[in-house]
Amino acid sequence: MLKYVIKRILLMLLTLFIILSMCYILIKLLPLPPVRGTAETQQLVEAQRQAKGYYDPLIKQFFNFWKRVLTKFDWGAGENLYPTQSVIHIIGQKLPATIVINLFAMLFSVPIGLLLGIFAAVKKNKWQDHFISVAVMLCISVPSFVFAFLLQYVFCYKLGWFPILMERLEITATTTTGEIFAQLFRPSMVRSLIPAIFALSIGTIAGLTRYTRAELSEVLTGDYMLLARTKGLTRRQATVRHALRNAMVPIFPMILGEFVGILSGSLVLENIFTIPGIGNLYVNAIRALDYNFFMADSAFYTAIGLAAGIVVDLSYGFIDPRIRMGAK
Amino acid sequence: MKRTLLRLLVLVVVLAMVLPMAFSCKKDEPANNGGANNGGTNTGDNGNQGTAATYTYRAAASNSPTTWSPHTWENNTDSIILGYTTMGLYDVQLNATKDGYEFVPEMAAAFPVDVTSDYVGKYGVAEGDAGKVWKIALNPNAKWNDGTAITADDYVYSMKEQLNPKMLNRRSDSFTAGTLSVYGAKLYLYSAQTAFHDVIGAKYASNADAVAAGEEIFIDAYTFYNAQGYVDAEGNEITQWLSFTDETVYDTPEAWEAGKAEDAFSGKMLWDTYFNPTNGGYAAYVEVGAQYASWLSILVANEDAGYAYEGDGTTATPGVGVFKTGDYEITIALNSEISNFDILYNLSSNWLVKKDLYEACKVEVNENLVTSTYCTTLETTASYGPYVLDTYVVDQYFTLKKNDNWYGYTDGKHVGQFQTTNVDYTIITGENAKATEKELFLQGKLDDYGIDGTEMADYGTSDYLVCTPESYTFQFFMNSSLAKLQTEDNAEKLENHSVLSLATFRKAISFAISRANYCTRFQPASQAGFGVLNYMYCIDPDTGALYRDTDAAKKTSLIYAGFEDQGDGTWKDHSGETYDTLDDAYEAITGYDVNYARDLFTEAYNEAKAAGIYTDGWTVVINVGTVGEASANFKNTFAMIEEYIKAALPENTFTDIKMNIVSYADEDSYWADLGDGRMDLSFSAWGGSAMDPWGIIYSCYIDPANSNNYGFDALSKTIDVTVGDKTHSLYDWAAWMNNNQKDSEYDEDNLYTLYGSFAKKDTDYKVEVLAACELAQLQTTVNVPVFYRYVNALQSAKYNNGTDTYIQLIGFGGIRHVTYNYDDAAWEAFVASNNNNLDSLYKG
Repeated sequence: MLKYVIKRILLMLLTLFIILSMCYILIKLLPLPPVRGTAETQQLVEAQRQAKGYYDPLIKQFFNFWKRVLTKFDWGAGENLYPTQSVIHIIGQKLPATIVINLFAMLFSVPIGLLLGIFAAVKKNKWQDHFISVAVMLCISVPSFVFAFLLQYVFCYKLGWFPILMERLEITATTTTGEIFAQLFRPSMVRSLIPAIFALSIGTIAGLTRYTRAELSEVLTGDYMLLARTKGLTRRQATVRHALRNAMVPIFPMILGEFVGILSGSLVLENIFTIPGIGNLYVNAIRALDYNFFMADSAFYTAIGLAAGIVVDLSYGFIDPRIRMGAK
Repeated sequence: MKRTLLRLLVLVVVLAMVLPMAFSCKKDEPANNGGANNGGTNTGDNGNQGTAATYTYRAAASNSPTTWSPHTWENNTDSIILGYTTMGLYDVQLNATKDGYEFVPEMAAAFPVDVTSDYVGKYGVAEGDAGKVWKIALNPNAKWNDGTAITADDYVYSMKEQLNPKMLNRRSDSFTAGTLSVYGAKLYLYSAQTAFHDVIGAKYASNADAVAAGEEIFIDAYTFYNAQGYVDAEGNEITQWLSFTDETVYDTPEAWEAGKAEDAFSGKMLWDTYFNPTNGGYAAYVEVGAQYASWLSILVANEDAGYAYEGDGTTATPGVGVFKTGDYEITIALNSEISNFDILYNLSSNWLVKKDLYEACKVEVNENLVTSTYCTTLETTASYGPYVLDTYVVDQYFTLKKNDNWYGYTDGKHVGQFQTTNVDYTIITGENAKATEKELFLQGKLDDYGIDGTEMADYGTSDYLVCTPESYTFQFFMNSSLAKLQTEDNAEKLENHSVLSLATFRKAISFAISRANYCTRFQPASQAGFGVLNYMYCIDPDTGALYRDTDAAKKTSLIYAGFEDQGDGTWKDHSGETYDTLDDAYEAITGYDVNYARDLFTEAYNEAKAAGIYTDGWTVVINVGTVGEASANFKNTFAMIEEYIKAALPENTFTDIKMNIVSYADEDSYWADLGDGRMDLSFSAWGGSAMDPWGIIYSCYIDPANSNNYGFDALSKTIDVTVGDKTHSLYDWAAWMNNNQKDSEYDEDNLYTLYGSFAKKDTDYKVEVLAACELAQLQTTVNVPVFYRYVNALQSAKYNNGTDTYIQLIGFGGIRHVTYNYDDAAWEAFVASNNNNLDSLYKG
């Protein structure tokens, strides 16, 4: 098992290197943004670009990039986005808010989603099932930002139950990422995040409900369920002990996948509730052609995605002991 | 089983509902409301007896400031913080009667003194020069927010860092070019470069001489060919300067991808076609000393490499023209003379940085480049203005509080000013930003809210509505190139674009639309516009007189709108109605005359048929560009324009005319297509430089680098303009006006020597020239003015502006003159007494 894990990690690093190299070359092939302004400004920006090595041969830039990343873990500073500020520092500052809001959304949506799915499966083709299915379709069809607008308007503006925007963080140069996390768990902060958490959860609840219902419905009609009942188990016992465990095999990796999504943030929701998260950092880095932010973001998300793949693969073995790798 | 599951489900759902309620049962605390928290500075103490009242100005910004160093700031949001934490040597305030502005010394102790005559033989000063060297006494009470005194050394250090050759700071161009071009600044800024591109005239008498001497000539592909972003076949980015022998072909990335040449060119091709002295089409324009000589360059060794900052202005040690002449006195030597107004105006911003902090913030990127994190976070920010940065969280908010060490609070010269104690900005971005801002504003948590045309029905009569005029004139910029438009004609779809090349057709469009109705529907506070310069342009900084109010400017508008001067002081419009005075006629301008438009369309049709550029049965299609997906407003605007045009289109002429909206993914592609004649019509604006109207015609409409009118050729000088008894081309007049205040390099027609410095002419004459040029430009009909823009906003009942009348340079008084009707605590109580919703108050 350990050998397998090490092998997967080494392969992951190789894949990461290849993907980042491709990203670097592709972003460098894009034309530089035009410089607007006077001839004097253009001359100045051109001189800066020369000094930064933008016009050096691509291969030289490529090796310089890997040299500083591998020897100093230096991902550089912002060029067009957050100029001169450390890329790692900015990401570290913006990541906690994204993680926490998504974490709350997951903690809120997973149990509700699972329970609604189980309930719908148990009540299959009855009015409860139809009601849940219609609600699920509605929630899946309507984008989360629409719910966000509605929640903000009704509960924050009209009723005044929650603040319109997220409570403010207090960050200085000495504030650690841990301290930012601590602020995010303050009751008043959590309260200010509730509309965003609701908006973010609705889609996940609906997705999980639908998936759980489908899986469980199928399992509940299996022969071994009939066997379980005939050997004297009650319906509850059969469902909890046999059906649920079997249904969880495809559901659990899905939940894990949702957790990985925690780190990606939500561009629109973060904008709506003024959450200083990481949601729009990647898009903005590409728009502004900020090489350093783009590469650091790419590295971060690629690494997370690859690591998640390993974790999901390994999780199968834990959920269902019958699944073992390398069996011959 | 069923019951248990049901119970469990109900329990989870109830918990999910109850927990948020539990959190929400506590009423909003001001400190935790979006837009209301000031980082714990003052608001929480408002109710405490014995605590001074706080007055917080709360606003929203569309994005987070990221660098507010005076040396590197990039955009308007960056400048917000600068506006509070810095102060100019001079600043503008309302005059005593609050009907105009006046300059006052701030970081300076007195007004600048012209000491040019003391420096003859130094800093490029010749006998008889004036306005080039200025002595400035510094305010001895000025301090950094930590109490450190600010002396002349700080100014000299800061300028040296501003121009640091290894930093190449973004805002250096404020001192290396333009009105405040400092002596030696550019040489010092580029002193780390061993070679640079220089104009051919720096070494040779003519371009031909340079070629004969075997010099390698370079062409500015950015300025001349607008080729930024072009790539070669391998995807390598084009650089600004291309060698005249370079045969590498560049084109747009899209063209390479499509495998079809779109705008392909090489340095050699440009040289052979346009610039070769023997047969190049534009050779005369780029000849040594000509207007566009800077499009060509030679690479010269930088003889000024290592140019030192310190010096005395002599040939041996020239130095840079910002130097210390006393502990609290600096002297500034400029490359060109500058007026009293301009020196005060240009020194209303400042270049000061705090030495110890600035040095600590330096980061060496590589051996060629050093950057600085100065003024990018709370800890790297120093203040010497009325406010100091108090909190800053990137992409969420920032707040400022009073700077206790600011001299202005104790010097007795600012009594009644800067009543605001705290400033609070929330970053609100994204598609929903406007709705969020409105909700916060109506809850009393923001103090300004910009409203658009659709909201004018609700708030148009509000006592709290503030309309701010802008210098921008929105216009239809039209493509008039027959060759280019013909490439768009489509026989399959029976589409004709070519008729837009006819001046009569464009003029017909101008008279077919009712600008007044357009404004009523889409730009309620804006004014219908008939000139390229609007009511913001000032012809005399001392009196504040406006160009548009002059008789010459009114006559221009009248003639453009189709009125005739009867020679006896009366005017007659198209319908034959006469007006007794110029002002009566001016008041009657609408620019909307359906009958005249019909005549013009008929005339255009006949012209088009005669020229063979229109076939009966084809629809005239005008492609209108917009960035991003067209908004409902934009679509409705052109639906309205189309209706007007159709209403004025006579039968048996053009079959139909359609406005076709074309969306562009981004601004770059929009402007690229406009510049290359691939767009028929752009609805955009020119503005800016409201205190200097003289250069506008040249800079915005004549200069090919900035013209939005593809196909409009002013360079050929075929448009004659007569002023008094002198006739010259529009190009010559406009260029002459634009060359004010400096020794003109442009004297192709000896205009400069013939008429002297434009800047020194009397104002009436200058206005006459400007009006004549404006009329000539309008009569080309390549640009059709539609409206003068006003920006509308609701202003919180919490505060008052210094004045209700917009005043040049100072607007409504700014933060300096804001006074409050409520302190923070009283405001909170007031909002609460209105059930936290002020909508009915603002609707009036």
